[in-house]
Amino acid sequence: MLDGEHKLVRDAIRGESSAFGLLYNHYHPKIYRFVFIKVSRREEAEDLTHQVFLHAWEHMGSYEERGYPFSSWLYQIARNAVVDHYRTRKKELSLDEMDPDDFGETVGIELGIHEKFELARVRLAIRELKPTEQDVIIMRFVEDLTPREIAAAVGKSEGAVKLIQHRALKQLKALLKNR
Amino acid sequence: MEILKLLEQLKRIEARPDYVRQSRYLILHKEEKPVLSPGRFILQSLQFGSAVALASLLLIFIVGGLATWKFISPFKLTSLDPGSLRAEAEAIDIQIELTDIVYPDSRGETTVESASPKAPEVKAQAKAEAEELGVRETEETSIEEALDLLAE
Repeated sequence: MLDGEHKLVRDAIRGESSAFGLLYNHYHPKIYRFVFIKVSRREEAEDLTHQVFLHAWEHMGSYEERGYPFSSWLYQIARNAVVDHYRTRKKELSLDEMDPDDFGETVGIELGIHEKFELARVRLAIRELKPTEQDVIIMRFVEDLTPREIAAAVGKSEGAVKLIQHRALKQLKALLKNR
Repeated sequence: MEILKLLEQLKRIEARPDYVRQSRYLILHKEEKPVLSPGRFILQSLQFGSAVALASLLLIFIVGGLATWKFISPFKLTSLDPGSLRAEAEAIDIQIELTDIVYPDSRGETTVESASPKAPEVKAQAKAEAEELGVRETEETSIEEALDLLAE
């Protein structure tokens, strides 16, 4: 959670764009990573992430603090955006169709071909999980959210989140082993 | 666990700085929709009500002004009073006089024929004037001969 997040959120609710800008700076990398892992191409991830924050800013007036981090609300919006995106998709992308350079552009440091390939393999394996399992895996092991924060984001109890996490990890191992 | 290390590698994913800058700018500079609060709703209702009331008042002034114009105006607008218009129309004595119609006959001479109901009186008057001028009235008198006689 961002320091002074409660005050920033209250200021953003009142319409202060500078406060929302600070929230944007902090949460944009996380949301972008979350979306990028779930969709196939960088352009799609950029469009969807832009839509997520645009939606959040437009509906900031209706946001209510219920004891959960602001990020949980952003992840909810991001999940819905990805679901809507999948509804309009016409074809699935395979590993052969993925461009390693496309993946490389999104990474801050230079990676070798092997590393790029491994990361692409993990991404594809995650995308073979069920949507909620994908969300839990990404939020827990990539974004380091707590089970409580994940539960608020996916709309389930903490116990359910832990169970989903366990099953998803097991499934992911099996998928990576077979590739 | 190897899989956890692989998942941690995904943290390296970053968006392009240009895209982030542009997206942030577009979002924060987007025109905000006004939030409809109770106070704003009441204010908008009052504004609408005031506009309707003013328009009604203006309409009343225009209609009322036209109605009172005939009482306050120094000029009598008789054209607006059907009764007086009817009386005026009945008072007009329209007497239509048809002037003498000149028809050219087959001999190339003009024949004066009067179509007026007062033709006998007019003829007598013309005859008297012609006698004064010394002009003999004849049916065979042509226009040119008449003009010559008058010119003497």
